[in-house]
Amino acid sequence: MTISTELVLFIIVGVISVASAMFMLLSTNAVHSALFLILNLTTVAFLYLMLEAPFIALVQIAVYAGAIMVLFLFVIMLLGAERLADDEEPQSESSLFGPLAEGGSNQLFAGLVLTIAFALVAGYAVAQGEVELQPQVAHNPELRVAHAAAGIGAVDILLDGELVAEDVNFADSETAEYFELDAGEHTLTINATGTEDTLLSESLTLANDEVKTAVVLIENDAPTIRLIDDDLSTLEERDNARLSFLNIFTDAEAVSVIDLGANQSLDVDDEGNVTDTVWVENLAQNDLAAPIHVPEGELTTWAIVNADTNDILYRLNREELFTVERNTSDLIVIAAEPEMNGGVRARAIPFTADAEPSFGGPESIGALLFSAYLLPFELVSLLLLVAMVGAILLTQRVSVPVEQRKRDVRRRVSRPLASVVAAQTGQNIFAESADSEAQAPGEEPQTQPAGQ
Amino acid sequence: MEIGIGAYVVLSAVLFTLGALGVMLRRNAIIVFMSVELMLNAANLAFVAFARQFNDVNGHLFVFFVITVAAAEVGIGLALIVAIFRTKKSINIDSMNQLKG
Repeated sequence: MTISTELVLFIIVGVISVASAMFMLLSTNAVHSALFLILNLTTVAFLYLMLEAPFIALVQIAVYAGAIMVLFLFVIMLLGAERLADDEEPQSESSLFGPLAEGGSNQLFAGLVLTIAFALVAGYAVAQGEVELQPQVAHNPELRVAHAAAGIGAVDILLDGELVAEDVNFADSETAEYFELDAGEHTLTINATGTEDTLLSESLTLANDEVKTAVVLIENDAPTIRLIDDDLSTLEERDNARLSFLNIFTDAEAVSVIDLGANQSLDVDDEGNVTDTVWVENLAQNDLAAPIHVPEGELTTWAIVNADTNDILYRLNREELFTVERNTSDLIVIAAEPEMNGGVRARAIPFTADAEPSFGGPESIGALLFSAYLLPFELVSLLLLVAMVGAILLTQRVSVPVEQRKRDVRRRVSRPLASVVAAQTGQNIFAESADSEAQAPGEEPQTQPAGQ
Repeated sequence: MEIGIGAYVVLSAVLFTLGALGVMLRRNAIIVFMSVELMLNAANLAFVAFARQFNDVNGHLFVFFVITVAAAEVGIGLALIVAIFRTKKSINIDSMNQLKG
């Protein structure tokens, strides 16, 4: 049994987490409690990182361990409350951790040890790189159909006998979308549109977590299907796109994908070598090129070139379709399109799909927050606003108006005046009025408060 | 040896229990408050662990909301504590018994 790095990290960080929570509870000094809670929140943030939730981990540190705990410490120091309510603490709980719970210096020492241990482990883990975790729940397979067979006209697409898309034209890249299926065997049927004429019917076996494109193409004058694995995994560089090229162009042995540069023509040196940037070289018929990563933008200077004769077959600036968007995974099919004179010419058809945003990253969370969770998000914002106003109202001192303050001063002066009068007249008018006031509220004096 | 979701959920339960103990045993209102934060945090850990298990980012959204609500709660709660301390000169929760029947 090998012990993985993850297990070791989890045990160490988990122990520090539980220990700091205990010290938080046992500490007699509220400031120490708050510091232990900060350590605890930080260890939990580290566990979030191990669980592939980097965004939540950073929010935890910034909001929880930062802002909220500063508020706690501020209130503790404001009230001078770090030693308050100690007398009433039950003493029994400290018997086990007595030495640690009682001495302030022991506590500080323990906190220091825990913090240093956590810093060492976290620093080591960060230096070592990421912890691999596999999601344990599989996703359903997905399938899309790309119509790249010129000459069979518009088609209807049926999956397991059910119509899922109708009137799909050749090179219709807009409507090609993924269908989520159950794992297992499925029948894909392509009919000429609006009829029961089955052009082809094929049985496909799909396993969980697979994402595939079924490219309809013409082979030996008959439509067939080629299944291609789509790679929709997260791109490492955010503003890139992943392009794969499939060559089903029948009129050339092999093609290349070349960036022609600003002059829009193929530059060849004296020895016949192409000097422009070659992205895909010598892609033979029916081959799928390994995916390339290109930055987002328009592919206006790109062209598909016959690899043997260096003839430009197709310029990608011909249509606006070739704007590469960031974080997409695009399949570009180089297909043959019939010409008026009976020949064929090349045609590139892009089938785009969004690459998955990274799990737990700010992009995936932001996308959800502004789509499915927009209303709760607004409500929580409102709640924060109400809480802010509430905190102000709760802690606001009721300020005494200036006039009232003056009246208070005058009354204070008037009492000695009353006693002066009493001394002169021999009659204590102040005591009399005080007596009558004391009698006024109730006829009979109450011995017990109401309600008991 | 891979560790599964179980370890994270157990840790979360332990932290939650410690937080609950703090709420019940301590008398200092501020420490009671910090224990409540500990409990919320333990629940968040379980959320994130299950989000990883089911490969679903919705759990992270819930953690996000819990953190926001906790911030609002701390703001109000500490304001209450400050207001009570002004009138009672104490934040011992046993002295806050005026609503007792």
